[in-house]
Amino acid sequence: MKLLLKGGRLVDPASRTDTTADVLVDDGRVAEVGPGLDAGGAEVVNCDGLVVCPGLVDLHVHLREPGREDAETIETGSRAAALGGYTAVCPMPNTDPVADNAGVVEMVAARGREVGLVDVFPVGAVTLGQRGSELAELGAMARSAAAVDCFSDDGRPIREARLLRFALEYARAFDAVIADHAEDASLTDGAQMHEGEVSAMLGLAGWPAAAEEMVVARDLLLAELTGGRLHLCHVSTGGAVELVRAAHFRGRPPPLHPDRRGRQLLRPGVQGQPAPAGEGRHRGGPPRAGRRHP
Amino acid sequence: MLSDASTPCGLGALLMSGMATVLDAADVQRALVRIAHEIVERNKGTDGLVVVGIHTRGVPLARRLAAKLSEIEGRQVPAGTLDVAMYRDDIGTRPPQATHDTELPFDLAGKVVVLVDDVLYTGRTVRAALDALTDFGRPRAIQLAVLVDRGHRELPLRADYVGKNLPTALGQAVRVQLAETDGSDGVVVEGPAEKVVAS
Amino acid sequence: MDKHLLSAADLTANDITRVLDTAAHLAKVTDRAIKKVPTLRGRTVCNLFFEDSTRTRISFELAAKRLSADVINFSAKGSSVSKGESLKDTAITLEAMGVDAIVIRHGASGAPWRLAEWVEAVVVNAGDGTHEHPTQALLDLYTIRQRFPGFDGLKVAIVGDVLHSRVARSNVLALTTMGAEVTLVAPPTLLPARVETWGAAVSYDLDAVLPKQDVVMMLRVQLERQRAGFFPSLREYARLYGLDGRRLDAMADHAIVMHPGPMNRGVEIAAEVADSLERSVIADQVANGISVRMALLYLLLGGPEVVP
Repeated sequence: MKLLLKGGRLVDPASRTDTTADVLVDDGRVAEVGPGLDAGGAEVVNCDGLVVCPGLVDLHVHLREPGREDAETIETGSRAAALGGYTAVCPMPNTDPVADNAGVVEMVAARGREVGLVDVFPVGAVTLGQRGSELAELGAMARSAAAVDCFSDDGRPIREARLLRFALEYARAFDAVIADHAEDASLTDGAQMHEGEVSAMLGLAGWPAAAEEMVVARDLLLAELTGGRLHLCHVSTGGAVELVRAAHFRGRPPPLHPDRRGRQLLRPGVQGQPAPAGEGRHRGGPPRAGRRHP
Repeated sequence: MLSDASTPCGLGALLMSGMATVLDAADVQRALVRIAHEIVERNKGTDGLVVVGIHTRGVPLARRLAAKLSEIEGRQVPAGTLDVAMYRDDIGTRPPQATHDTELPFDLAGKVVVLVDDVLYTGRTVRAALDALTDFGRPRAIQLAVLVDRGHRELPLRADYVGKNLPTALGQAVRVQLAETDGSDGVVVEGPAEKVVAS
Repeated sequence: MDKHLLSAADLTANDITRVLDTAAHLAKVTDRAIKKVPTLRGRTVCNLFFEDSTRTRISFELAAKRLSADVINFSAKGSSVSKGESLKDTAITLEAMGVDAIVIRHGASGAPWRLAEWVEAVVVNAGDGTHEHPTQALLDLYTIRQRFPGFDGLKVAIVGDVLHSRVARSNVLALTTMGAEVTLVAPPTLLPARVETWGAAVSYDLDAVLPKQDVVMMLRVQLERQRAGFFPSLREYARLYGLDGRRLDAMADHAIVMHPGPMNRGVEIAAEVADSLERSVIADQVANGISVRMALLYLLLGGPEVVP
């Protein structure tokens, strides 16, 4: 089956492409790229005024299934993702039951295949029930049919350094990533916005940048100690970025990929593209704008 | 520095500082044959007889004797080996000696054991061998056969069968060479001779 | 050989060969009607065990008695130690009583070295903390030598909680001294820091390593390690690092299975594997322990007293 995408704006950061051109797709594979391609029996799609790019990946979504199907399901989430140009999504484990075992992750992955709109790569919980006290069976999830290679307790920061250390070390056996939400909860009780002049004037409880940076520093040191693969969720302060930059400069593996509120994220081995910035909506916690860095 | 002329084997003239061969290959073989016949004569045959060689050179000697005995009487005489390292009386005074295998493939009860060694000297090795042997069982009798008796006993022990009586000075070393261990047969004495007092 | 046996690193290849050869000869003592030789008559060996260990203590005790030595057993429970006496004071007491050798097992890494500073007696390390267990390594090598002609190039995998294992440390030292190729297999949390400097290969994947090995040595995993968080569950540990029937079949036909004991059947080793008559030499290891310890006591005590 041949398909000709004609005259669209071709954007591909990997090859530094941003031009108007045609794309010929043959039997599900890109056969040719260039201006003014011959249709040759292909179905022609007029892409004038449209953007044509490699599929986007959202590394952090909530599909709410199992447990909260009233809010979202794997099907509805897949449809929304596909509509937005995402070909792969990674649902977080804060489902009910929590995705902390092979059974739940296999179920989510299978349902994703059944819906068949986007690739669904479930993220497994790091700790049982995301309670932060005992390691979940990371090996079982990694070796399951869902082939989990990223684990996170999502919005629950891993409080015990010892536990994060074990998680980072243990995950090395499966070459998996541990994604930690960097927040010291004791400093952010009841916080509604970034702590600063504005919150003070408005009388709203504040969330100091230090609450994030302290944990970022800790996590980076543990990643260096263990040689594990660390991902930092929701990085939003300039100080945190400085810490990451310094860690990179020290040259210790592995690479770190801070997630920003705008969902800009590149995971090694996954073709990705930053989502368009500047969205007004926020899913999840309150904005923690500090000094944003591009 | 010639030894006393009353030396039984008249070797005095040959013993000087240095090395002297006192038995050659033919001598060794003849001595073994003679010992084998003596054993048969004394024990009126080889019934109930076993030969046990003391490591290291007693072992090949024992095997040769057993073979000869088997030939003379026309019936198999078994041979065994005995390691005495664990039974020495000088443990704790010198570095631990290397150990070897003890193989006694027969029951000792009621047997006549002919212990075989290359050189009988102070008698302490034989004493250790007697202790080792009795830990394995209770033979009817134990007899001792040695290729060379060089004198200087420190214990009241004597050999029943001797290949060659060889008085020596304490400063001398008697080296027995056997084809199985050293490539050829022979007995060599090294070191300075002294006046030997006739016993 | 040195005066004491504290670490497997103290032994050269010649030393190890000597111990194994001597053990082979002394093994026959066990087969005799009178299971004794008079070699160490009049010597006194003290088993100073601060940690429970019936198996090792009995092994040393039998070894000493077969050499006609006198044996005294000192276990920490119900002793002056439980009343607060320090290792040093215990050592001084034993020294005053004139023992010739002290076999010490202690929970603190390095305890035998301290003991050797305080006594004239010969000190034998029967296991110190998570540091070393040299006599176990020697009996393991002896057992391997019963099945294989030599160590050079022999492929040995040591599987399990390497981080906390004194058996692993001593074995890596002794095996590499003899030219074997050692691979350590464990979850990353149970491997020591900088383990790549040990002279052994490292892998997290048991299934990848198994078919090429001549010897597979399983280490005991203590249940409290799971509680402490080193791995999520015993079930997952067994699934990823346990030697079960399926993995046994994946091993080469000539390969053997070892375990220092005591075993957690069903965790690091399945019952069917432990009981496999062709492959498992675990029972041999126990028997060999006595011969090897006899050889050691003979070689350490059978010579003149070394005047420091």
